[in-house]
Amino acid sequence: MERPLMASEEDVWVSRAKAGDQAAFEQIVFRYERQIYSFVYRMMGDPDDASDLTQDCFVRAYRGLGSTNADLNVSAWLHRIASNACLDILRRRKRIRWLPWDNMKHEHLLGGGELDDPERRTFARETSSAVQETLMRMSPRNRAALIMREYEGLSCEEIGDALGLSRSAVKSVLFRGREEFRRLYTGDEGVAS
Amino acid sequence: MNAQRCADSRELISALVDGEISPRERIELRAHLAACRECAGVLESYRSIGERIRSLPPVHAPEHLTDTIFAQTIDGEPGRLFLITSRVGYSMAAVAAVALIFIVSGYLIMGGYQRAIQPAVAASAPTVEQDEPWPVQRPIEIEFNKPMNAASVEAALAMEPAGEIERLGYQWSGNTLIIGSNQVLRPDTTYQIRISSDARDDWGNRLDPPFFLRFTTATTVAVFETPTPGAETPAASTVTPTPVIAPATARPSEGTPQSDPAVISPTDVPGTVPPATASPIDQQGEPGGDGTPPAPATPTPTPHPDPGSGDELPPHATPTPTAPSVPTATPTVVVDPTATSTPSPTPTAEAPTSTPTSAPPPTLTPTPETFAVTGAIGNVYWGDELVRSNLGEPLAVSSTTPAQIQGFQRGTMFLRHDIGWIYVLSSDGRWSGFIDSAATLPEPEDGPEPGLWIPGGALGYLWRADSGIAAEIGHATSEYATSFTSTVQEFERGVILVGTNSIYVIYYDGASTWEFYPNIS
Repeated sequence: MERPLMASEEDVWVSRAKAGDQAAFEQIVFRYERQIYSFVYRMMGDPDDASDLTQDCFVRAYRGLGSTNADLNVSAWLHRIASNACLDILRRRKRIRWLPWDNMKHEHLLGGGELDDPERRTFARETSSAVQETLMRMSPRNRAALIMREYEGLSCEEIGDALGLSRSAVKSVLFRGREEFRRLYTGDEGVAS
Repeated sequence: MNAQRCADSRELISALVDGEISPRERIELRAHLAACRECAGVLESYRSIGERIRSLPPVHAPEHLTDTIFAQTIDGEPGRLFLITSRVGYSMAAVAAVALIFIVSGYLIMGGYQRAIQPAVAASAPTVEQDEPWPVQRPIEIEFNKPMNAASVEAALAMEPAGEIERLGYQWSGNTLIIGSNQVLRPDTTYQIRISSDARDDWGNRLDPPFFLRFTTATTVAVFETPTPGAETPAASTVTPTPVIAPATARPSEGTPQSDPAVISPTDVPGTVPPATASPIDQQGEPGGDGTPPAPATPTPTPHPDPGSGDELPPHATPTPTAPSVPTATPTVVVDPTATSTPSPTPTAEAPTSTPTSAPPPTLTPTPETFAVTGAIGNVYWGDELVRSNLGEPLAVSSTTPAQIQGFQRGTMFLRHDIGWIYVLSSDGRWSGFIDSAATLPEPEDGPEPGLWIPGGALGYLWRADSGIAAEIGHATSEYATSFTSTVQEFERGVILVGTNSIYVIYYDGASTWEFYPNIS
């Protein structure tokens, strides 16, 4: 049994995983599973969808790893697979998914237990609920870009890699996304001035 | 505000939030934001959106997800099947399971730890205790204790002298912000760097405490033969000293009053502007034994003692100049003694175009009316209780004015055209005020070494006229001053000026102090 690879050795993981090293692929899964799940969850707004699409993402990654370039940015690549899967599902459903956000349904998945004050906790939940609902009403591409940027902390270059856009196009999508979020959120609550 | 301009600015504002904006675009956009409240509100709104999304709670993937993924990928491979079906394989799988639990736990714990800890500056080079001059070829490094949101740090970063952050540039290496990796620092220059608590980590936590660093670079300048560089230039010999408004306390230059224009004390009466009476020159530069500003007094004409240019005495036109049309409280104006010594202008001399008139400035007193303090100025005013208490209440709403700013080795010069006023902000934390009386606008000239200049324009006119200023703040660190639209707002005990990169808080206190904050708009 070889020692586990450290996070700083990502390029080594990739090259070894491409060569068929299963342990290296495991490390990639450990490193990115939660991040991709969070992204998909915020994109789809549904834990079951998030589980299914996260699995699908890593299965596709596993199969496609051998044909990637040597300078692969794993995070951007996985986000591209995940966002394509999400956008594809949303397209096939032929409607923008907008379901009322049920805090009780998502309670077990969400953190935030550090808020001891019940009132603060309730307020935080309500705010999160409003934000998530607004995200769900946005156009999928704008939503994906905004989540990657603001929630995942990806750079514009990485978002461009993930969405197949140039850097300037990413800036435009983020701009449109912010305008859309502002319009929808303000319309709902009049808070995001 | 031009609607098309606003529409064009929106995408740039979004890019600013992402840190995807060029320095030039940033300067232009900030000038627009300072003048357009609607667009400033849009910026605030975009930032608020980011905060709201980042505040969404973390999501925990179901525990079975990893197994499910492995079942559909590597578990289907022969090698893995062998591992878990053989006796050795079971042992190794057990070891692997323990290792995996350790790794996953470690990752989750570290992730949680990283999210929870407060971001702070862990180290810097130079250090905050740096006493020795810092080599000009060494970049400035500021290391944070955790991954930071680069855009927020860059927005919360301000550096003095003005313009240096744009020249030096910055880049990131992990958690370390490196300033000036491809440029040398200015020699013999005092740098001040401030990162406000608006800087955030990747999880939205604010920098605490804010970071402030001040250090001086080593000199590589040869000792001058002449006392002041300005005196070396032909222009300097013809420049006329200007009426001056100075803080109550002495500038270093005030130790040589024979070459200085008259020094005037700012008023310490909140919200009022005393009549244009002048204070006698305090040879010690101190207004009084107790450190309070001197009482306004009638100017005392004294012969101009300047031995070096006695044949070209400054021909100030009026004996009792006053401050320009200052809308609010301003320092008291005192006439250059040479001007008061001659009741009428010398016919042969060139009269400064901006010599103050005899009309006293309007006197404004605080009224019960409340004026809004918003935008970039509001960020500073409402963000720091000490600033608020020191400045007092606003006397008017903010206004915009054409302005110029230029960085110097040990300070910054700031000209606001609305009242024709030049602030000399010394890196020792004190300021002086001067009336812009430039009759001619000299061209900048090369300084004592590459990268330093004898300034030109209105700022250069004053710099050359008053050798004390040159001695105090050194040479310009850019060839030309930057022209831009500033926003200013007057308060009971000071004024806030929005610069290109920093926001300057000028206090009308006894010590005539100033400080700067990042312009996060």
